Parts: sequence; structure tokens; C-alpha cells
Amino acid sequence: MKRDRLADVKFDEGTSLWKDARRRLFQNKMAVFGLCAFSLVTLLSFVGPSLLPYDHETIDLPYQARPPLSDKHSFVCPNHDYVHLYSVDENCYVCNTPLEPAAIQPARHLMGTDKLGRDLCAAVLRGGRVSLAVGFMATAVSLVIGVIWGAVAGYFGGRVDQFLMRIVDVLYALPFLIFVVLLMVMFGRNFLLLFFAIGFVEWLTMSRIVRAQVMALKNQEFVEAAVALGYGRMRIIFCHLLPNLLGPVIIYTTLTVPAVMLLESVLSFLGLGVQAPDTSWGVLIKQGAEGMEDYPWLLLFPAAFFSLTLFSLNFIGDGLRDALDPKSSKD
Amino acid sequence: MRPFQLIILLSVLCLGMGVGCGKAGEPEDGEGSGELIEKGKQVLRLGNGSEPEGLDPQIVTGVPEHFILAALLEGLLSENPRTLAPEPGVAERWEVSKDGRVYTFHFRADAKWTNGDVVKAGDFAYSYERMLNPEMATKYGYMLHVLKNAKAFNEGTLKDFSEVGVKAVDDRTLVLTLEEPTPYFLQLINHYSWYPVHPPTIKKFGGMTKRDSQWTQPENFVGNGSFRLKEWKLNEHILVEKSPTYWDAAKVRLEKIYFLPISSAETEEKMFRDGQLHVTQTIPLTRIEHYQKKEPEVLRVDPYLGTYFYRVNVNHKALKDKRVRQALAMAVNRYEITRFVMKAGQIPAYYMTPPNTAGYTSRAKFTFDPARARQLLAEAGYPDGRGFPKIDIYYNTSEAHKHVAEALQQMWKTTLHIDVGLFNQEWKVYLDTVNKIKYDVARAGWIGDYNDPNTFLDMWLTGGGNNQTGWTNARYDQLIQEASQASNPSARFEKFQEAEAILLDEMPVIPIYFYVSLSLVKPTVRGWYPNILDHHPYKYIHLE
Amino acid sequence: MFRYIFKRLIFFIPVLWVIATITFFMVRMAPGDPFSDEKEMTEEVRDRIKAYYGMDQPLWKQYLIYLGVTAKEVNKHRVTFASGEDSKEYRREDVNATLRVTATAEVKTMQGDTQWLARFLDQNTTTNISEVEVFRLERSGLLQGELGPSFKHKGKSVNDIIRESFPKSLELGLYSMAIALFLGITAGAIAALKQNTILDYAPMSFAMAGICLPTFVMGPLLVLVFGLWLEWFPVAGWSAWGGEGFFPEGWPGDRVLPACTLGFFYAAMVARLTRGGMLETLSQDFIKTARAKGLTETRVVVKHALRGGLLPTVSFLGPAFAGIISGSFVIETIFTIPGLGRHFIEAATNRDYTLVLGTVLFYATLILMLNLIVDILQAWLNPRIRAQ
Repeated sequence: MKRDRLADVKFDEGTSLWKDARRRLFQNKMAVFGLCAFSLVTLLSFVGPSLLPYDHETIDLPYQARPPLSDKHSFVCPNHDYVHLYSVDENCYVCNTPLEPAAIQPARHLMGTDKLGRDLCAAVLRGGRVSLAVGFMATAVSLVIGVIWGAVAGYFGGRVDQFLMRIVDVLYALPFLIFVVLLMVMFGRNFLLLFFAIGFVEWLTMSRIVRAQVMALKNQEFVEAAVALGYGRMRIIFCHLLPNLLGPVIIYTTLTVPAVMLLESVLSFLGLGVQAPDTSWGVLIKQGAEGMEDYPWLLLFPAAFFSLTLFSLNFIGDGLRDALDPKSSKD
Repeated sequence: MRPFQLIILLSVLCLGMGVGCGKAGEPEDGEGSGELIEKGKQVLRLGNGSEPEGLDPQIVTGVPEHFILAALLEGLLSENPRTLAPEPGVAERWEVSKDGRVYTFHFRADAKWTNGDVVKAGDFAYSYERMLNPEMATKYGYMLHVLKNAKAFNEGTLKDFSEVGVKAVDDRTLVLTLEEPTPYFLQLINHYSWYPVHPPTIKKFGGMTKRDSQWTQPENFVGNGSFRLKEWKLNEHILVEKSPTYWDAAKVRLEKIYFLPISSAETEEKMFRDGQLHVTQTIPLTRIEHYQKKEPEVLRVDPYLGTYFYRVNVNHKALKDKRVRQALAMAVNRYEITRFVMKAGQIPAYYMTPPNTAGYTSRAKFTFDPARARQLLAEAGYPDGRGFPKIDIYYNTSEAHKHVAEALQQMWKTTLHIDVGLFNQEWKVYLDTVNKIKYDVARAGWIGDYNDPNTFLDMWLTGGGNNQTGWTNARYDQLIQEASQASNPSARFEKFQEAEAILLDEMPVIPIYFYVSLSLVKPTVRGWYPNILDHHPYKYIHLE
Repeated sequence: MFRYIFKRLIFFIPVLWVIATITFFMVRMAPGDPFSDEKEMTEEVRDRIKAYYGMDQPLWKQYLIYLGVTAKEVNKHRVTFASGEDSKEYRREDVNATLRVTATAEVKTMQGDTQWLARFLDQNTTTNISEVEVFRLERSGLLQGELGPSFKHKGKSVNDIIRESFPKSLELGLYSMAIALFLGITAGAIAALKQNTILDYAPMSFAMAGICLPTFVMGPLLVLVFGLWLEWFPVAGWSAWGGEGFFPEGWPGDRVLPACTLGFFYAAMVARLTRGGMLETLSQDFIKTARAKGLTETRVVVKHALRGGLLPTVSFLGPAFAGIISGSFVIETIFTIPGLGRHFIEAATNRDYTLVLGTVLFYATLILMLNLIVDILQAWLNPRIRAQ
């Protein structure tokens, strides 16, 4: 939907804008780096888990919380097949006979294991799926609602503005936690609900930012010119004002993505969101933060993936903004 | 020019920080920056979990409240800090009738309230009436149901309190008559639901049945304990100081106690290391190994009268078969859960009542036996888990509960080849789910109210408020009833043995492990003895 | 201008009413009740507790009582008669008390009498009276400025709780805001002026790091480094000013780490928004004009570029500021600060209906005020908005 409108922009303001933008985007080294890094993370998240020797579900309690690249020599009891430990010094806890070495598993855990002995690498890559999906879907929801709401309020002003903005105020104040619990009761556990619940809170600030920008822009000459040409209001808002809002909108969007991904971990706490053993970056970071002193890798790896994604998104965002800036094209 | 300005700016910032740090660095002596433990002073600082709901002993129900009330009020008896054996409290001596039904307490003359009034037998009678008054709607009213006619009065069918087995013969003699001989009675009355309140104060602030009375505010509070309430700042601290009117004040060595409501275990542990606390309420799961290996001298791990278990919805279409429930119970490797998940030395539970509860240990027990579990499931009509419907494990959101649930999920999946899902819920939603029995399998915990097997077994009676599994068994109900009437302790325990055997055969609950109480205690704290109820009478504690 | 502000202030009332109404019914619909606990109580006990808090009434009536439109029964006492007893002396100091006789469902009002129950029974020869309820009718609700008693914190009113805890959140919020604005605007402005140089990349990378480290990571991290390893600041707590402080002057050092944790997080956002806004403004024609006029660079930046460039930041700050000064749950839990932020979440998880409503309405008022201030500020920052 957004893409179509940008295409309209191209038609209005000169035929070379879209092509120019692409050229400028690819000239920006940071943006290209961002694109590459981001594609890599996405690819790893969706394809990576199937390439790993371990999955994110299999619990191995005696092998818990091992640092990255630990060896995995297992010992089993000859009498009880379910007794397996990772230390030679121990005897079977059922019959107290000495353990015997089992076949060595050659594959090491790349990022170590978590508190239940699951492979962290698989969990981080798996978590990327949920986080990226939530990050994009929910951000898109909040972007669309926020931009339209704010632009309409800002452009029409007066009573419309009062009405729309007071609704925003009401929504700001409503207790989110209760809202989510109610959603769960009414619709059950549902992944789509997650996007809705997050989108519901995240568009509010976006709408206020857009509204302020529109109010600042709407009396400028190019808008007056469009009015004089007899264009419709919607056309002016979406074809003339919106391209000029891209800067703040893109920046706030890149700020929304991390907020959304972290909010997802809060919703998981309430039972909406991902259910164990499935996981997400937000959940992993939250768990990692609690043991950062003793098991730093549990925080480090998910946080690194999370940060890499955000950094690259940010570079892409900056690049896009520079590339699409209608004013810079005049220079 | 501009970079130059920036450099100045940055250096000012650094300088500012440096100065700030320098200032901050001076008063330290290496014990930590937040050092609030005052050396040489008898001021104890305790982590106390969550903010207490209130300080009215007849209203509150939690553990944090217990720690504070134990300082502010004293019951008829007090307890030995090591063995929990009854010791003189407000009553200096007591007698029990031959049939074990009538207890006579003789009050000491010097037991005083903090306003100087003498503690009278009538004050206790008033407090019990308040506790049992149906208008008051106390949650712990059932603790007093051992008194004659107390249940009827509490439920409103009996209007006249004088028929209840509480009689203040004179100011210094209280006679309590029980419904049945209750061997654990002297243990029971150390629970805070049996603590007295000061009747004139209660009357002054809205009368006997006012639930949200202002009498618990520091300026109004009148207690009879070894400490008196000084400050109560919401979510900040509760400060009590030594009470000069307490009869045994000479023995009390602490001057003040701070109770700090710290809801995050991580924060509490950091405050302990920083020197802001003497004793913590718990330890975060992730730090246990560190203390076990590096600082065992501050780590306290003691058995605790509580069981961690799972409730099974016996009305569920597959779980209504007891063989399925037994299969689920036998497929859980409790050794791995206690050692690798909980880590602190919890005891694997193969029966419901914690071992050696007042001398009682269940003879009946089941074992961890994957082969037998598979066989039972097959007998129930689900060979190799085929045709078994998907069940969900319900738990309230918390790291530890989640870990246990995940481990159980995996054990059931790999041993029984059945499909198991997880469903975490926010606390109040979870309570609602369990109460309405809308779950398949739900995590639960039960902390004994008093040191007797009864507190773990009478909850499974038909229609019991805490049963919440839908399980009923007439023989079981009868046995528990008979146990309460048995006069001979060993005959009583035999009834419990038989009842627990039924419970373990029917398996409406799956015991997982027995709790331990976990805390960090500074070596300077003396007189902090381990016991099964995690009670620590403050008059025996001092600092070095 | 004043007319505009006045109009907006008048608008607060319907907005707050809408919020109160929606929230009231929302919390009541949520599963779980304020009194449930791990140890279950019998249904009778639950019903009686609910009745005590007036929750036995139909929901619409409870709503009207909460608003303060309908009177509620307070100080209710039940006088019961033992069988065979036909009169009872009962003293009450309460003037304007109301009497309800259960057997006949008759309601009588009797005033200014301390022994009126006995007198009532003398005057009325009705037999079979088993129970008499004595209470006073009182209107106290939102209209009277009363937010009601908290269900969880027994003996405390919601008004008390907010009054006690808000100043702490406010104090911390102001420090954090100062840090966020100072660091954020400075870094953002410098980065915009020196676009695509090291002075742009360095502060922006820090800002991104600040965004990537949520407060529940940043907080414990700062605590570990500055609290436990370097031992510069206390790890948690909230001591009084001038009291048993950690600094020689009685300056409580336990403010430093929470204020930094919260401040850095918002500083990062502010820096990003400011940079973007500035870049937008710097490319506009009036800046070129200003430069062409020969104004000094400082004047161009501070007077013209910053004013326009701050627009998105200011829009963001309205709600953010309300959020900061009303307290952050995460920060207040990590640092055990007795602020308002914890009550927002804890009230909701405890289903403490009155406290949820009280905190929501308080926060709503803050949001409304701050958004009003922001709108005024935006008009001042941008002449084009002012014209409207």
C-alpha cells in the first residue's frame, strides 16, 4: 500500500526520483552494509535452525548452562538407560554403579547451552523468526494507523483534530496489562492477537509526531500550490505532505522496532506471545539479563543478534531517508 | 572550533563524573557503597519479600506478614527457635485435660500491651471472636475451627459466641475447649491467626468487624510483642523498635529491625552483597551455584514444610483414568529436576506430606519408573501414547515454574510419547483457572500452616476449598475424619498413612519435590536457627 | 491563547470521564478477583468480603457509587439477636445513621440519638426481627475527589498511596529527564551539524547502543559495574534527603544509578529524533537565508535550526515525560524505589480495582496536561503552527 503511494510521488515530482533514490541508497556505504547484515540475520533466522545439529527444544538437564564451544562427553549407567551425566566422577543416582562412557557427540554447542541444557544457538536463530515477524508486522500496523491518524488530525485541524487527539489521549491512559488479559479471555491465545495488542499501543506517539509535522508543513507554499491546483484533500495529504514527513517517520519507526520486540517479551509474560519452548529475542534477553553475572553468554548472544538487527535497520532507515528526501533532490 | 567545544564539553562531563566519584568514594571502607549495616549497633535489616497486605493478624494471609507480626504480637505461647517446641509466651503455664480436649492457660502478670495495659484473657477471647465473626469474613478463620462450635459460629449458623469453646474465666485464666483432641494444638496456636489484638484500639478505629481499619497504622498500633511498630512506609520499609513494655524485654538484644519489601530476588541478592541487608528472603536461581561453591558460609538451605506438586484435573477425558495419572507421575525424573533445575537441595517427592512432618513419614510411595509408566499408559488404552489427546501444563509465570514445566513437558513427551503443551498465565488468571478447574494439569505449591500431616492431607477432602482437582473419595474423607477423632497419636498417624496411600494410588496430584527455605545470612547474625517452618523468633537474635 | 488553553482544560472532564468509564468496566471484566489467593477461601467468605467493599451491588450501581453520584453505605454494622431476645441496647455515636430491618425489609432513618436501636425496638412491635443493619449513607467518589480504599494495601486509600509514591517517581523522573534532554539534544544536534563524520557516527552509535539495551539489561549492568565492582554508588534503595545518606552532604547517592538507567534510555531516543529533525530543518531554505544574511553559526543553529529541529522530539516528549515522572515499573523494581510506577503494574496484577482506576486517572491527567503543554510548546517552536 505504501509502495503505491510512493510511486504516485514519483509521478508528481519528477520521473527520476525513484531511480535516483535507489542510486543514492546504494551509494550509501552504511546503508548497503545495513542491508547485507539485515538480510543475513533474516536468512539465518529462517534457514539457520535446520542447518544446526541441535534443535531448540531438546532439554538435556545434566548438560545445563555450558559456555560456548563446550565439549559434550556423556556417561551413562549400564543398568538405567535414562541416567546420563557429564562427569566421570559421579555414579548412577539410582543404583550407584560407576558410569560408562557413551558415544561422544561430535557437534559442539556453538553458543553454549541454556539453563535447561538446550542449544542456545538454535534458540537464538529460532527466536529471530518470532522477533522479526512481530517487529515488522506490529511496526507496520502502528505505522499505518499512526501516520494516517496523525496526518488527518494535523491537516484538518479544529474539531477533527480535537476529537482524534483526545481519542489518542484516552488510549494512552488505558491500562495495557488489563487490556491484554481481556483480549486473551475474549479471543484465546492467538498469534495474530499479538500484533494487534502491540500495534494498539505503539501507534499513539507516531500519530502525535506526524500531526505536529503536518501542522508545521500544511501552510507551506507547495501545499498551497496543490490546493490552488484543486487537488483533493486526501491527495494532498498522501501525495504532497507525506513524502515530506519521511524523515521523522522513518526515525521513529526505527525506534518502534526495538520497543515492539521487547514488548513482545512482556506479552509472553502474560501468556500472550510465544509459548515455551518456542522463544524470541525479547524473552531470551530478559532471561539472560537475570543471570548475566554467572552465565554472560545467555545475554550476550541474543543481545548481539538483536543489536545487529537494530543497527542495520537504523542504517537502512537513515539511508532511505537521505535517498528519498524530496528536498535534497532539489540541490 | 566546534570539535574543540565538544572536547571541552566531554572533559567537563568526565570531570564531573570524576568529582562525583571521588566524593562517592571517600566514605567507603570496602564493604560496599550502599553500606547501611551499622557496625556495633543492634539494628537488623531483613529482606521481606513483597509488601505486606496489612498488619492486622486477623486479615492477612501471607508469609511476609508473618515475619513482621511475629515481632509485633505474641500469642499464648512462644516457640523454641530450634525445635519449635512450645515455650511460655503470654501464658506462663498451661494444662491439658486428660481427654486432650480442654486447655487451660494461666497468664503472666507482667504481660503488657505497648500502651501499658495488661494483657488479659478477655483480650484473647475478643480476638478469637473477631477472627470467627462471620461479618469479618476472615480467610484464616478455619484455623480456629478446632475450637468447640467455632465452625458453626464462623459460618453464621450459631449466633452466640459464648457457646464457642473460649472462656476467659478471669483476667489471667483462659480455657479453650476443643471439638476433638488435637495433638498439634500447641503448635497451631503459634500461627498468627491466633495472635491477640488490643480490643479498645479495635473499638476505637471502627469496631470489631471493620476490615480496613486504621488501627494498624504506626501511630495507632498497640501490640504485645517484643517490638513495637515505629514506621510503615509503603514499598519502602517497616521499622520496628524494641518494646520496653514487653515482659521479656531484658532478653531482647536487637534495638531495631527493618523489614524491606524487595520483590525482586536479583535485587535482594545485590543489596545483600552491597551490605544493605543482613538476611535475604530467598536467592535467585542463577546465583545458587555461586554461593554453593564460593561463599557457602552465608548460604542457608534448610528443609521447609512445603510440597511442590501438580494438580491433575480428574474430570478430563483422558486424565480421569487413574492409570494415566500414575503414568504421568512415574515418568517424571525428580532427581534431575531437583538437582539441575532447582539446584538448592530440594528433596524429590514421591509422596505428598514432607518427610518427618511431626514424626510422620508416608510409607506408601511411588517410584520413578519410565518402563512401568509406559506400561500403565498402554493398559489405559494408549499404547505408546497413541490416541492420547494433547494436554496442557498450566503454570503462573515465573522463571522457576517455567523451567520445571518445560522439563516435565519434555519428560512426558520422550517417555510417554504424548503431546504436551505449555500455558503460562498471569497470577490472578491462573488462580481463576485452577479454582474453576479449567486446566488439564496445573502447577501448585502448598506450605503447611502448622507442623502436622493434617495440613497436607485434609485439603483433599471432597469439596475442600483447596482441593481444586474435582477428586472425591469417600473412604479418604472418612479416614481423615477418623484421624481427627483419634485420641492416640499413633492410631491417628495410621489413619493418615492409609489415607495418603489412597491419595497416592488415585493420584489426583503429582508431587514433584519438597521445598527448602533458602536465604543468605550475614555471619554477624547470631541466633538465626534453622527450623521446618522458617520461623525465627527475634528475641533470640543478636548481631556481633 | 488563553481561550485555547481554557477550552482544552474544559475538555479534560469528558475525556477523564470516558477513561474512567472504560477502565472501570475493563478491570471488572478481567478474570480473577482482588481477594483470591494461593490458599482458597470458601464462597461465603468471598461473598462477605465482596459485600464489605460494596461489590455485591449490581455493576452499574457500583459504577455510579464510584463516580460519587449515588450514595454508598458506610460503617455498616449488623446487630443480630439471639433467639428469644427481643430487644438489645446498642449505642452509636453516628448521627444521620440509617437503619435497615431485615425481616420486614423496611428502611428507617433515625437521627441524633445514641440509643436509637433500643428506642426503635420499643416503638416497633414487629416480631421476628432477627437482624438489624446500621449504616450511614455517604457520597464519596470521583466527583468528591475520593478514589476509594485500596483492596490490596488494607487501611490505605488510593489517594494516600498516590500522594506518598508520586513525589518519589517525580524526583527520579526529573533527574532522568535532565540527563535525557541534556545528553540527547546535545548529541543529536552535534551529530546533525557534523553529518557523516566521526562526530556523527560516534554519538549515534552510542545512542543506538542505548536503544538496544533495554532498561532491564542496562539497570543490572550499571548496578554490577558501578555498584558492586567499583562500589561507587549504592545498588538499590531510596534514602531520604539529608538523612542517613551515602555522601558527606547527606545527598542520597542511590538516585544516581536509576536516574542514569532511565536517562540513558531516553537520551538515546531523544538524540535520534533530534538529529533527524535537525537534518530536516538544516536543509530548508530559511536556514540558507539566515546563513546568507551573515548570522553567526551559533545563532543559526540555536535560534533557527534547533527550534525547528526539535519538533519531533517535543511531540515524543509529551507522552514520554508523563511516562517518566509517573514512574517506571522496571526501574522501580530493580532499584526498590517506592514510587508510583510499581503500583501501575502491581495494581493491575492484583486486580486492585480502585488502585488501577486511581493510577490510570492520575496518569491520564498527566498525559492530558503534558500533551497540552506540548501543543503550546510546538506553537512556540514553529510559527506556522502558531498561526492556527
